[in-house]
Amino acid sequence: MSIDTSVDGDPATCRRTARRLHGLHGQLVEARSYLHGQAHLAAAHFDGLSGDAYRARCAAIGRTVDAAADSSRGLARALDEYADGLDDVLAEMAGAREVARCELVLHGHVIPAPGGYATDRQRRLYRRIAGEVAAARGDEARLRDAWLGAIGRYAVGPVEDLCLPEVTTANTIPGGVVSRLVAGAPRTSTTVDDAPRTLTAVPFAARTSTTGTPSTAVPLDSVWVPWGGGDAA
Amino acid sequence: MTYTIDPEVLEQSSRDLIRHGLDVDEATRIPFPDTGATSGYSKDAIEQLTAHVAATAASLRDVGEATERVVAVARLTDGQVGELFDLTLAGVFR
Repeated sequence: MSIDTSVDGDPATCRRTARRLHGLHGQLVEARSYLHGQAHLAAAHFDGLSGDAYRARCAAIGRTVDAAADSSRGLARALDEYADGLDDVLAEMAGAREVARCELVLHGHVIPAPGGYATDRQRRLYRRIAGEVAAARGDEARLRDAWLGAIGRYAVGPVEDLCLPEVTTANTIPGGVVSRLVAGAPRTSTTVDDAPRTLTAVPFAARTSTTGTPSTAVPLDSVWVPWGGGDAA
Repeated sequence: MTYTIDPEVLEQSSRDLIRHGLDVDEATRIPFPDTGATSGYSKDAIEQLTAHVAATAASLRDVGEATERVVAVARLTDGQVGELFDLTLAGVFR
């Protein structure tokens, strides 16, 4: 069986989005601070029922702003951590390809299985790379689940609207960057409405766009193996 | 019985509320991240957040504009309004 080292996702775009989310958080914090002041505007400036209505409205908007600020910050941090984790996975895969380039055969992002003419050293090396790539795939899956968990945790509206898939690996993380991501910050703000915070149990399906088009990975069986191929030896 | 409305203070509040609304609205222009297989979910989550924030920004501008109207009335009455007028003005914030 061939080893596919391709990885979907772009850490740079994740960081760019995270920066904008941090910026949004900053604006929301400023607005929240201002609204807090207006919600406590002295009666000497605005008296009567109209003054009370003004203060009540500012306080209500302030609570909405508060929830949005927490969400934007939570998503920004989760995206930053996702980008860091994805960088690690990409580095692992690049390392595997580099070894294969020197010692085995590399076909794009795919390392074909050693064929009948491969040496024992090449077979051992291939098995080692296969183990490392499998571990990186595990990290990739846990990153994905942690990010989906963050999306559910920091949703400002009904989480059902997001049709999130079931998270399968988030509770089995041994450590490292992934566990930092999963741990996340607990939601402390006033929540918007009373949207439930549980994920809907939908089996995971890749969704790279709103049209539901799945990502396209190279099918392992379709890879051309230049040295005789397969597990002939 | 009359109530006090300080037009100078509220005029500044009105401007600030509208400005905050515009600033927050401007900050909702967020590019979608490429998170691989979860990109669709990421896009939906960002869209949900920005729609929520845009509605909040609109509320900020609304209350700012409502305050503008109150200021206009307060200037006509030298900052003093009676109970019935006060009750009417309260409606603009609901």
